[in-house]
Amino acid sequence: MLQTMRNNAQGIIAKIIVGFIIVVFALWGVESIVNLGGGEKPVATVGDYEISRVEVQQKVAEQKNQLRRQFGDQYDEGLFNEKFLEQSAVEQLINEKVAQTQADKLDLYAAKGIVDQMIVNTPSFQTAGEYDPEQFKLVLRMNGYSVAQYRAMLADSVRQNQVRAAFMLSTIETPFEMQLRQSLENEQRTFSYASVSADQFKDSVEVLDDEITAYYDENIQRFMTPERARIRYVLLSRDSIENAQEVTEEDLEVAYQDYVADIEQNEQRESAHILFLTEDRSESEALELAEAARTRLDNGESFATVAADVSEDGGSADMGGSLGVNPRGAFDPAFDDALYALEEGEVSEPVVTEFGVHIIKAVSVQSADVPAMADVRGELVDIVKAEKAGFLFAERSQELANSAFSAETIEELAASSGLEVQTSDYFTQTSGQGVADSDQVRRAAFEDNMKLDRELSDLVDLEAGSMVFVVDDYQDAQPKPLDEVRGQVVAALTSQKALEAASEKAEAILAGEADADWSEATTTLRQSTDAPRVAQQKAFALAEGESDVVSSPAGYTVVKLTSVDRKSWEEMAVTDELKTSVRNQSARDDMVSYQAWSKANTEISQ
Amino acid sequence: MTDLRTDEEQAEIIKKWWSENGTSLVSTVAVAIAGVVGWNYWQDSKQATGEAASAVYTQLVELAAQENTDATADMQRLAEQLKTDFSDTAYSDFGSLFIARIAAENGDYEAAAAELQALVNDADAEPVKLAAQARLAAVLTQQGKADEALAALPEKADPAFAPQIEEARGDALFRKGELANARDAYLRAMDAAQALGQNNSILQRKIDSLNTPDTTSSEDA
Repeated sequence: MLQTMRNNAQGIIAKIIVGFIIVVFALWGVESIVNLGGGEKPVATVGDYEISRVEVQQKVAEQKNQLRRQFGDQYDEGLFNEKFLEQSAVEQLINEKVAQTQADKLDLYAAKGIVDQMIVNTPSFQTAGEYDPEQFKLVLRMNGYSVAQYRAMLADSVRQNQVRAAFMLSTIETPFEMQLRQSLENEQRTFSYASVSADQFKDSVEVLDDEITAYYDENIQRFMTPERARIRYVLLSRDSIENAQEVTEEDLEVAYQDYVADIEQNEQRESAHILFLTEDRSESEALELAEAARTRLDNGESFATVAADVSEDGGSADMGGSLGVNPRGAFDPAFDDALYALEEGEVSEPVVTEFGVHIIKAVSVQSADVPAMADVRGELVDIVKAEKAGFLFAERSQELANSAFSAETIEELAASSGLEVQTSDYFTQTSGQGVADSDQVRRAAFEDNMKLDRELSDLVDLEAGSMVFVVDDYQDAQPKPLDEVRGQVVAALTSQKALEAASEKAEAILAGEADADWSEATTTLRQSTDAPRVAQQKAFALAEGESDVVSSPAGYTVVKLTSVDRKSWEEMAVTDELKTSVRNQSARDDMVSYQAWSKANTEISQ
Repeated sequence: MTDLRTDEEQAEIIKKWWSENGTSLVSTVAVAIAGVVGWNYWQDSKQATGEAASAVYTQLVELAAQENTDATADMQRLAEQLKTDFSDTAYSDFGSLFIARIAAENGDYEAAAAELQALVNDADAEPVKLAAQARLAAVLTQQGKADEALAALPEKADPAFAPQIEEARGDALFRKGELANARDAYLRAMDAAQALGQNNSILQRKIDSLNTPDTTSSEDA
């Protein structure tokens, strides 16, 4: 068989097959064959696009980052339901792919130059205000994109914006339309209103015992004690390990040197300079000029005079050459070295940097006072102890975690780790004291495996140290006895009944069967008046001569529309404010419609 | 293999087959290759045209976004260029939308209506057509041609563009003095807007301003 193949390989069939393969590779590339295998099942399919699980996870991570930025320190992973985040990520991705599908259908293009421009103009791809290709690649790598992927993403957004702009920027607002709106905006209505407050009935309504019990039973969910728990725990305290560390004189000496170096690092100096640029002249020419300036200074002319006269740093020349107060490292190293070698008030020899030749003056030296070792001894001892304890603490925490894994009870764990079992006070899901001040502890304690199965917890990192706990006692939410909440129930029922009485009274006024204290207002819809807002709104929805009752914050209000004063649209002059608001609204409406249309006309399967 | 032909015999058969069918096979392959090359060429030239159109369109959009009235002449020129040089692309339809807007801004409603009517007749993209329909009706109403405006609107609006289309219908009916019908159209526009998750306070005002004791009581009931 092999022999046959070898013989045939010379033959025509083989040539045809090889030729075929060459043609396929040449025209469609290796992928045409490699890609035949299938991948993972997508989360959703939108038009020709698939949404993969990886994409969803990436989106969820993005959302979490955004929330973290938004909430800062208050961000708490537990606050946001993972399922919910995932759903909203899928929803968002579907919308993106819908927009993409429709842009594809319209056959839109993003010119290469536009994408280049966007990349070059992105601040995060710049160093010192200039586009930096290295920075670009670095940022992409950190975010997990390839250059091609990122360019494709930008191109997609360009194409989607093109459609958006086509709808949003081409809207037409006709004068008739705007005049019609203006006539509505300017319309004035005169109405009378009478408010019936519920409070006045509170003293007269009667609450029966039967009603109290019924209300209590129906609303028992509102009268529950929160569930609570007490834990027993072992705590590997950070302090105890730190305090056990010995501190030698040598340790202190080293720490003190670091401490002093730190302070010196933060030293600031106020400087001034006279600059001769080397842009358009040679360095030696600039040096000569600098020497000449230096001579003038030596002859007693003031630094400010010479700076104003000859310095080529336009920003500082008129201010005595002043560069302000700066920390070390703010300037070119050669400049810094020269500046920090000066005594206060001293002027340097000419110094060469990449900008040119400088004469530098140390205007003032604000060195922080270096304290004597004796004064900071206490502080240093703490620093050394914390340093020494750091590693040991990590090691012992790990041991504790390991023992917790194999231990059956908290006592066993205490014995094996040489720690003491302590007991907390009762705490609820939302508040606690001592170790239960940590919401990590509280959250964990109310998990089913903790509160019901009484398992040992994982290691919890607290500020005070590492702990492991077990729930000692758990009390489920309980209804509070009626006697305890009777006051609350009576108050709720009284309000309810008073409101009913107010409603009856208002209806009676409406029917003309009761007297009322009427007020009157003449106003546009927007203006604010003494009338309750809801009553004013009602007046603008009624027909002339009509009246009605609306529920207002304090009770009920009867509204009676007396007259409408609306000018015909033909008489209206349109304000700029209205024009802008109509434009914005049309743009928004058309955008929403386009998106809705796109979604309805794209095949989506989930 | 059931028969016991030698390799030589097999080669003989293949050679014979080749002499009979070889020419047609080679020409088929040649045609296929030519097809692929041609397709790629066509794609490339389409890409080039598309990118050129996109560059012109980008300039137009940048000017439009500035809302600078001095730029109107430039915008007009760019929009017309899209229509003449890139008539087969979506950019041409986008250009028409802008031409209609510019004409309406200049008070030339005749020209605006003609441009929009052409889009309604010929635009490739359905959503462009739907938006143009509502805008056309508004322009005709502005001209006092309320009946023509009503005739330009579809009887049953696509749910996505129903807010604009029904509001345009309401405006035309209002201009004709058919207030009850106008109110019904505004109500349909409101329902459609709410179905899209939008709340439109001015639409509510249009509805409320046309309320009569009849309408309020019938809705309360």
